[in-house]
Amino acid sequence: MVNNNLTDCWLLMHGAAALLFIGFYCIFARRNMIRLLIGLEIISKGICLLIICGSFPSGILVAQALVITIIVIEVCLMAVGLALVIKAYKQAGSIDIRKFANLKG
Amino acid sequence: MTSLLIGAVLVFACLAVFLKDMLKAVLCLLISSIFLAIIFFRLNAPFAGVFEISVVAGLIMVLFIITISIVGPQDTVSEPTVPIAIFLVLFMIFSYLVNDGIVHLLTSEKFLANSKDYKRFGEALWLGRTFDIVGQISVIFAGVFVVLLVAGRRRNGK
Repeated sequence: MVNNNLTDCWLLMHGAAALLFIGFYCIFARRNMIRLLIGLEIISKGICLLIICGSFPSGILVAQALVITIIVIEVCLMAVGLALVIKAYKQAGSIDIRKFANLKG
Repeated sequence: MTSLLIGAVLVFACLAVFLKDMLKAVLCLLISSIFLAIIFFRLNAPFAGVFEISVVAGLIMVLFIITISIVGPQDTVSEPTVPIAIFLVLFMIFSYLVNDGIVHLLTSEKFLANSKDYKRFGEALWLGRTFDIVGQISVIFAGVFVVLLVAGRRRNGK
């Protein structure tokens, strides 16, 4: 087990911050719709890590419950997002997000 | 050991973003999830680790692979060039803020208040986060209905 010293928390929180910014970069710099969902997934990983290591060790039980809630919501988000990707591919023949910039309602 | 694990998570997350082959990118994301689950286990959070492996590294990756098998590799999508330096600078600013205050805030007693009352994970989940369970069930139903509406076949050939 990891000792409850500030060094491990410091390291993991910086790792979580790095995960967040990798996800942000993926969302801003990519136009493939599947890549955008991968970026969301990476951001979600960073947030889960931040919650778990921020609450270590006193509030780890509540933090786990929160992380499980986040994961369930993430699964639903990914299922809906990927269904929309398949639908968009069947409609337009591409999953380039720029081709859907002129959608109206 | 912790630095190696978080380093592996970051490296595979970067590979998931930068690899051109979509299937390899998703597999890198899967490996990143597994390393993150190992970190959860080491932080004494086994339930979160199990969910990370079974749901994120299992179910979500299966959904990704099914989608990629339907839409194909899609290598023709041209990506714009966004300078990474902007994000590096933003990360350094954020990292400075983390260093300065957020660690002390998150490790203080005020974060996740009343969390010491529970002795077992079941109590924390079922008694402490009951509304979360209701929300989860609602979100699952909403997700199922939306997927059925979006991806289901229309009748009458329309």
